[in-house]
Amino acid sequence: MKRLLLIRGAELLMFVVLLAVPLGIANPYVLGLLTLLAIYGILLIGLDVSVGYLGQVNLAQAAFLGLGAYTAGILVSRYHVGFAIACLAAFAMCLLLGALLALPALRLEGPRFALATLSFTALCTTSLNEMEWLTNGAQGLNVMRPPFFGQALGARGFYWMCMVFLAAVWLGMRNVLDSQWGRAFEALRDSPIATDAMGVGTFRYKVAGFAFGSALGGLAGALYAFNFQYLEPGTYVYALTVFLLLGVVLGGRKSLWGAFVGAALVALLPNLLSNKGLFTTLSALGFLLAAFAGVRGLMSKRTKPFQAIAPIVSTGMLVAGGFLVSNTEDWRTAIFALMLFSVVVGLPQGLMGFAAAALSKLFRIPPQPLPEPSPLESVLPARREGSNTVLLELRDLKRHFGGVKAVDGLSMKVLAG
Amino acid sequence: MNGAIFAQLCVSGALIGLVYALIAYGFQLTYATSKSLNFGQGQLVMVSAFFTLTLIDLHLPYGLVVLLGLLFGAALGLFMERTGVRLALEQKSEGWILMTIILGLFFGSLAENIWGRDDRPFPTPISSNPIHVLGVDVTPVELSVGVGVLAVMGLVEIFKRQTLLGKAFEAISADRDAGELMGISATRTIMLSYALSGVVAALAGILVSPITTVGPTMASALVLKAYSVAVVAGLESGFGVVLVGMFLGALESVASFELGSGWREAPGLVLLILALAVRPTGIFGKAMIRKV
Repeated sequence: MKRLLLIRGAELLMFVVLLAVPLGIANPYVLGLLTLLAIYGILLIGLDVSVGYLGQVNLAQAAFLGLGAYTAGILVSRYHVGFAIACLAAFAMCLLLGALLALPALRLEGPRFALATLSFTALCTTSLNEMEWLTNGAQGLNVMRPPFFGQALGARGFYWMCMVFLAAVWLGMRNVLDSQWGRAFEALRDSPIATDAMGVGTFRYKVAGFAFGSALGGLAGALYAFNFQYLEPGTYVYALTVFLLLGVVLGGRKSLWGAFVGAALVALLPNLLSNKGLFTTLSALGFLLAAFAGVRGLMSKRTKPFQAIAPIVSTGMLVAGGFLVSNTEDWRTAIFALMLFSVVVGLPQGLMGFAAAALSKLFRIPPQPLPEPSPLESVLPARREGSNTVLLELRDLKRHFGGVKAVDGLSMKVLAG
Repeated sequence: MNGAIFAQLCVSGALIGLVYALIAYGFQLTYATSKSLNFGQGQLVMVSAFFTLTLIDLHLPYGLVVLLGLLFGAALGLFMERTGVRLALEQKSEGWILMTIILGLFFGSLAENIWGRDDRPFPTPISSNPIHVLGVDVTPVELSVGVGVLAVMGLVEIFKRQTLLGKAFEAISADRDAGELMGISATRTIMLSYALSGVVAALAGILVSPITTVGPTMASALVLKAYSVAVVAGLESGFGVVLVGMFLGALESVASFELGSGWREAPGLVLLILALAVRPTGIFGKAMIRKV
């Protein structure tokens, strides 16, 4: 109960603060960053469905961002549709394409799935580039921000719009995860084979989950198009897709908060790097943390030497780099890679996974208990005397695994009561 | 399109295709021993090519340059294995996918900052004046790609079959646990496979650079096609990657002639998605039965 209260309280507080920001600060730069944060938030929550819950390395999210952006952009600039319809169309388009990609790709696992999604991204970039009659090719596409039910949206109005979308996605996602679907996802990640054996259709859930995540990417894409009002195919490439994936991992998989923190990092990182003082302070903090945790781990012999030393070395390189390199912008990718390396090795649960564990220790919250089993009476149909309703009837059941016959010619009936 | 142009496109495409095959072969080497592959392989190709270019600028003899380049590739492969792969393999997770991507990004950015963002020509003593063979023009540089790729793949295969170390390699590939019980160190064998994979990547860079020039974009361009080749051919068959690589290279050069150069990448990617849909283990791959 206490846990629930704290989490809901924190969520409410964050949204209230984020919604209130434009009232206090009129700086368009800050507002632009926060809008981007909301858009990336939606995008990464969608990505987390496949990365966190399905446990697959998905490299196609940038492609769905691009497809959504172009769907909305073309609809608005050519056919002058409204805001809501464009968003809906982008969502539906990516839902469909996501399902189409998932049908062949999700039969694969691990590296092969990653390769398939990566090729999909590359194929999308090529198509967006070359289908000039539709997308205007490499010259880019100008998109006007459409009015929302007759109201023109200013920067502030659009920001609130994005925040409302983020909140809706957040709420919706939490409800989905608490439902039968969420439990199926959870089971899938741990063992697809066991899930299949329990009678949950593995493949169906996987495809649905992947398509839903992709559709959220499409929605984010539509907002992205209206935010920048200019699209070009070069944006949605390998580098972006990897950054998005790594953002989810850095923030923490299987957590809405993790996706949000990851989005914040991806959106704010370029600005963080341009401010040298901030960068040096943060990397020094990271180094001290890694050194402290590493030495403690080594002393207690709980962590492997590599796991303790590697984060120290990589954060050390960050600190040293901060002094040696004059222009940190050029080294953006390398810096991001070093940060990620230390997080992935040192904190496999991601920043939020680590924070959640630390916070629950701080507030002395017991881990979430397993749900109570439902009482039999509520699951089984009510018993009635003398009724002969057949609940289950089997005739000539056969099941074999390769050459091994487990059951052959079983017939039985189960009566109610 | 007339026959002569078609044949010309196919031959030069297929020779470039052998480079994709070589990089894909590098994936196979590590996949065989550890069921993992290096997603930063493209960056290894690029960094090794840049390193070799620096040595050429120092006016060292070409043979020595190639040798040093290959050693450098092996060192990078070992580094990848130690920092990116070993921990994930010990934990039996698929974390190596992310780790190798991260390391690849790091190497890519490092190379950009050390050697610059521009494409640079890669001088070689092999001439690029075309020779006329059977109605098709082939340059000695292109031929050197074909010969180099086939020679090195042949050498590795002979190494695997004839030497004690190679047999250990095969044993770990066939059954890791049984191999370890026979006293073969799996960790060392995996290290060996990553070093070999690094050598192969470096060689691919050295062979292809005179044709494509060296630059930060070469990593992603080459490696995407190598992925396609590896997946379409299956991650087990060395013979398969050669065939598929040559086929893909030819298809690609015909497609870019017919549809425009922007569509160059498309056939490989379509082929990949089709192959995955029809035969997920690849054309030459073996279906795996998983024990629960």
